[in-house]
Amino acid sequence: MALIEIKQLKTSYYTPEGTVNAVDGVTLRLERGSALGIVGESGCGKTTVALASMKLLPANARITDGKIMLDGENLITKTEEEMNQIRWKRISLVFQGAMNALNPVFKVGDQIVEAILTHNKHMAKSEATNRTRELLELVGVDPSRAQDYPHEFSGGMKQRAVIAMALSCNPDVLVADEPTTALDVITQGRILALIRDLQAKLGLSLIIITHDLSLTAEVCTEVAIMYAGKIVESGKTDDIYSEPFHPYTHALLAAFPSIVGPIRKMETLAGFPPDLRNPPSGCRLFPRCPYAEERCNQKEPELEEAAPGHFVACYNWRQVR
Amino acid sequence: MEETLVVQDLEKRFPVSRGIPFISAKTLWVRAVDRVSFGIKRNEILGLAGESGCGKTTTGRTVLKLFEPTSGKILFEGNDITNLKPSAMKQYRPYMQMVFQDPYRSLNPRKNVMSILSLPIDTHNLASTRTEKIEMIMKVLEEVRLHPPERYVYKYPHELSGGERQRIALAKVLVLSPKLIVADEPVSMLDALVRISVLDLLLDLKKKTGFACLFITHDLALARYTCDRIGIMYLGKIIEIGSKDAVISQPAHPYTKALISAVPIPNPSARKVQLQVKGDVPSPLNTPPGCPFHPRCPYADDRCREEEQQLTRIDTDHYVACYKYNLI
Repeated sequence: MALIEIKQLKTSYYTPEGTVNAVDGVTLRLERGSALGIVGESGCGKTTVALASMKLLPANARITDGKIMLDGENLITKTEEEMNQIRWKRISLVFQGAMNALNPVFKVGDQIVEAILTHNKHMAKSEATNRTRELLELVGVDPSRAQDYPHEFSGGMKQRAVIAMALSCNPDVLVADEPTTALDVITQGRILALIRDLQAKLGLSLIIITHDLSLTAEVCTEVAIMYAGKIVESGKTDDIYSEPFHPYTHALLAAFPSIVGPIRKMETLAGFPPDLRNPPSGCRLFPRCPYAEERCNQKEPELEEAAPGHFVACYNWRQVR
Repeated sequence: MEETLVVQDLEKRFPVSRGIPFISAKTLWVRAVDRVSFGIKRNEILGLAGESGCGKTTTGRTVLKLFEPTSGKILFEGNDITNLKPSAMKQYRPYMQMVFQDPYRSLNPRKNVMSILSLPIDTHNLASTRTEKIEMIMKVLEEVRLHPPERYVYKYPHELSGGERQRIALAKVLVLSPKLIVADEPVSMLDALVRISVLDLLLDLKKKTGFACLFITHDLALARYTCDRIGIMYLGKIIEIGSKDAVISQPAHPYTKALISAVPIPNPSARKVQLQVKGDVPSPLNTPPGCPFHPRCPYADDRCREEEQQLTRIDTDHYVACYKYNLI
C-alpha cells in the first residue's frame, strides 16, 4: 500500500470574482521511502495540493471532492482534533518562505522547543531542550547556536532550523514547498544534500513542491508535472527527463538552461495558462499546444499509462518529440 | 570595436555606524565594490554573477551613477563620467538605462501603459508632437512583441501578467534607444516559460539595435545562455572573468568551480559530485586579508592569506585572481 494516495482531489477557492478550481482531479501516489516532486509554474495548484494534503487550506478554500489516503485512512473525513494528531507527527510541512517566518524576538532554540511542546503536551521542558539540540545537530547546525536569534542565522541556517522543527515529531512524510527558493546556489546545494541525507538516515518519504525542474532532477525519485490544476504527466524521474511524453513537459524541459552540455536554443510555448475560473472544456493546454487537434478541444484526455509506471494525459503523446 | 563602457578600479564604500550614538558610535565601511575593472563592447552582454551580497547590484548601479563611486573611473563611450554632477549626467541618461528585477514594483500602479511609456519620452524631449509620441509608443510596443499595441496602451500594470510587465519595463528603456542597459536579475521573478521568451526578446533586440548590456544574475546556467562574457564576483571583487566558454567550461578559480558544481542540472542522469566549500561568506564589514576566498578555500596556503591576488590573464579572454589556478 502506498503511504500517501491522493485520489481525484478537487479544491476550489471562493473569491469575490468567482470560484477558482485550483486543483481539479489530481491523483498522486507516494510510496514509503521515495521522494515525489510536484513541478509546475506559479498558479498551477501545486501549493494547494500540499496544503490540502494536510487540510491546512485558507478559510476561503474547500476540498470539494476526492480522497486523501494516509496509510489507508481517509484524511478528508477526519475532524480537526484528529488532524492535529496527524499533522507534524505523521505528515510535516515546511511552508514556502518558512525561514522568514521565524519570530525575530525569540531565540531559535526556544521556537523549536515550543513546537515540540505544543505537539507533546506531557513532555518535560528539559527533554524538549535536549531534543532540540539533537535536531539541530541532525540538520548540521551547531547546537550551541540554539541560543541565537533568527537574525544571527544565515539564510541556509534558518532553512535548516525550519527543517529541524518540521522533523521534531518524527514524521513519516515531509512536504517541502519550494525549500530552496531565495537561497544562494551554494547554500541550495547544501540544503539539497541535507535533504537527501535525512531521507537516507531517517527513512523519510518526501514531497517536494517546486517550479524548478533541475531541483527535482537532483532529489526526487518520482515526478508529477502539473498544469492548470491537473497532473499532465507523472512517472519515474529518469523516465520523465529522458523521454517526456507530454508537450507541456517538453516545453518546460526546453525552458531550463543547463550549465553542462551544448547550449541549445530555448523554446517556449506562446500564450498563458488559462483562467481557472473558467477553464477550457477540452485539454487545458489546447490553446498553446503545437500538437493540438480538434478532439483535444472537445474532450479532455485522461491520464493513460504510456509506458510502465509512466502516465501522460495527451492524445498525441506518440507524436511529441 | 569600441567599448561602450569601461570601468577601471571602481570602488564603492558605504558607511555603517556601529555602537551607541554619541557615546561609542564609530563608522565602519562596507566595501561593496572593491577595485573592479571591466569593459563592455557594443552588441555584447557581460554577465556579472555571484551570490547575494557579493556586490553585483551595487556595481550595476554605480556604473549608471545611481550611486556615486568612491574612487575609480567610469568611461561611457570614451567620456569620463565618474565625477559628473546629476545635471551634467542628464545628457547621457537616455543612453544608459536600467531594467529592474521586480516588474511588480518597478511600474507605477496608478499609470497606464501609455503614461508609463510617455514619461521617458517627455523627460528627454524626444517627440515634438503628440502624434509622434504615440507613434513611438506603438512602435516600441511592437518591438517588445506586445501586439496588437492598441490592446495594451490603456491597460494598468495590475491587468498585465509578469511577463507582459517586464516587456513594458523593457519598452520603457528601449524607447530611448539606449547604448547601455544594466539589467538587474530581469527574469528571476518570472516563470520558466515566460522567462525564456523575455530573454530571447532581450537577445533579439540586442542583435537589432546593438546595445551593450550588463546582465546581473545569480543563475549561472542562465548567464551561460544569455551572456557573451561572464565575470564572477566574490565579496566585492571580480575573481574571474572571460568568455562564457572559458569561465563556465574551464573555470580556474576554486570559487567559480564550487559555484558551478553547485548548480543543479535538469537531467537526473548527469548528477555529479559537488565540490564542497566550508562555511559561509564572511561579513563584508570585516573582509579577510589576502584573497577574500581563503577562509573557505580548500587549497589556501600562507601566500593566499597574506598576499592579495590580482586578475591575471591565463588565456586569450580568461582572467583569474588565483595564483594557484594551475596547481589545482
